[in-house]
Amino acid sequence: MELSFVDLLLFLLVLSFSTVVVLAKDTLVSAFALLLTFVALAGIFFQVGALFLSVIQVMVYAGAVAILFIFVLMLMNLSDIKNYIPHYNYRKWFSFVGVICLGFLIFDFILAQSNLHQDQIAKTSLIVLFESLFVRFMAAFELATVLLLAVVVSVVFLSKNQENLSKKE
Amino acid sequence: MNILLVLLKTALVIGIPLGIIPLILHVERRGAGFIQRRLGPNRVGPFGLLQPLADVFKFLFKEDVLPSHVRPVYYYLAPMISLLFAILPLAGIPLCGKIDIDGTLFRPEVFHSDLGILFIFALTALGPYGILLAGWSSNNKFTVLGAIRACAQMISYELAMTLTVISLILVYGSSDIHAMIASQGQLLQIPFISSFLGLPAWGIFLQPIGALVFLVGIFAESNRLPFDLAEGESEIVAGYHLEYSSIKFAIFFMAEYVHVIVLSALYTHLFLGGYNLLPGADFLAEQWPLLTPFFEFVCFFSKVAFLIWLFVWVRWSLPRFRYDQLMDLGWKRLLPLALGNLIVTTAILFWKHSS
Repeated sequence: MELSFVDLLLFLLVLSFSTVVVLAKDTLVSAFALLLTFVALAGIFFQVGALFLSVIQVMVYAGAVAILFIFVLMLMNLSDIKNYIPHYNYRKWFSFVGVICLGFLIFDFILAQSNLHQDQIAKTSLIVLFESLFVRFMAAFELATVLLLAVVVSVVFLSKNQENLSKKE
Repeated sequence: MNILLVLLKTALVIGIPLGIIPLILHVERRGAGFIQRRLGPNRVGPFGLLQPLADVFKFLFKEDVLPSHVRPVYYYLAPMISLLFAILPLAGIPLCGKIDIDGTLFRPEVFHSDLGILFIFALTALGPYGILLAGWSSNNKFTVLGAIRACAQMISYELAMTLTVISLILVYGSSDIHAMIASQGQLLQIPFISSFLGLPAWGIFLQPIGALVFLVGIFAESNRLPFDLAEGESEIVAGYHLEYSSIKFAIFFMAEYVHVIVLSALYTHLFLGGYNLLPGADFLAEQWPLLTPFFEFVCFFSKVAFLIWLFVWVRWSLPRFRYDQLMDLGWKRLLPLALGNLIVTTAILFWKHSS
């Protein structure tokens, strides 16, 4: 197992950005640090050989999910509300433990990379992923789609219900 | 040796758009003048050719104001991030075909992989962040509003564009840009007409609706008229780059033009045949086979130049969209069109494959 310099750097970046997410006082800084965590995670996916996943991670998480978080925070002006810090600071201890666990997780992930030759990685990342998604685990994939659809429908229904309630008042 | 090559290609990737920007500036201002029946700048050099130089000097020597109410770190970071994410997609866009020198393959792009197109789209998806940071760090309600509107516009039109690209990937059979361009080099075959029309199988002929959707999408992605609500003077007083002066504003300006160049190059590769030689120019490749990369580069560059001129042309011909019209167009018209395009493409390919 060889951990190159880039691997170690990405590992440190993910850890530090996720620490900032937990410990930052300004909520919008947390959101931006979350975005950077996603990007660094995409780098780790790239190093391990899952090219397609890293691209999708950037496109979906960094390019859509994080933007939506930041939109909500900016429009609701939530960055003005400072995070409430209790007398006994649980946050620092929990975040310390969380960072250690995350570190173990990422370390395992990088250790478990297969020693594919660089050319083979480029050619087989798509095929390997799609073969497991659409051939071996197709039932689970379709069920996950149905679950997402159910979530979307229920969110629309719930928000409509709120409107009706406030109109009656 | 490999690292040197990558560094050289990176220098090209950074240098080429920054070098084309003065040209675009000049073309835009003179073109704007001609479209509006007046002469553009013609004092500074012959035909106003040194006007961009004068602009650069103005920006360099203007006072660099740091307003006291902005958040310092993010205020400085925002223009850099804007320019960074504007230039990054160029790493996956090839300038000419693969060059074969005695067996070693030399690729004219910094990063080559099986998923060239998806890589470029992932980086384009990060484009809105520079704008968001700029609007938020200025600590000004109007800039935040402008930034959010610009980002919402960019991510809405990205959706329709990505769906269009999916149908393109289906048609060409690969998401590698070189493979897409190679399959655009063949002649167009229309099933019910027995004789070829002599047209190459470019993207606009194979996917006309997709080409239209993508064209509208790239205007919205780069925040250019008719979609530049977020930075229009009369709408929201310059929007997200309100609090930026001199060189930082110039960086935003450059980032917008680099966006235009990158998206035009992408459109050329996907729909206009990329670096394939123009239809009548095949004899050049046969006469001087060693100079083929150069001819390919010239053809590619002329197509990109045509698209950039189209950007300038449309900017001064169409009025600005209102925000609700913009969102309406993106979600209610372009997205169903792109989805319908995908369904029809899939059906046709399935029918073709099964027969």
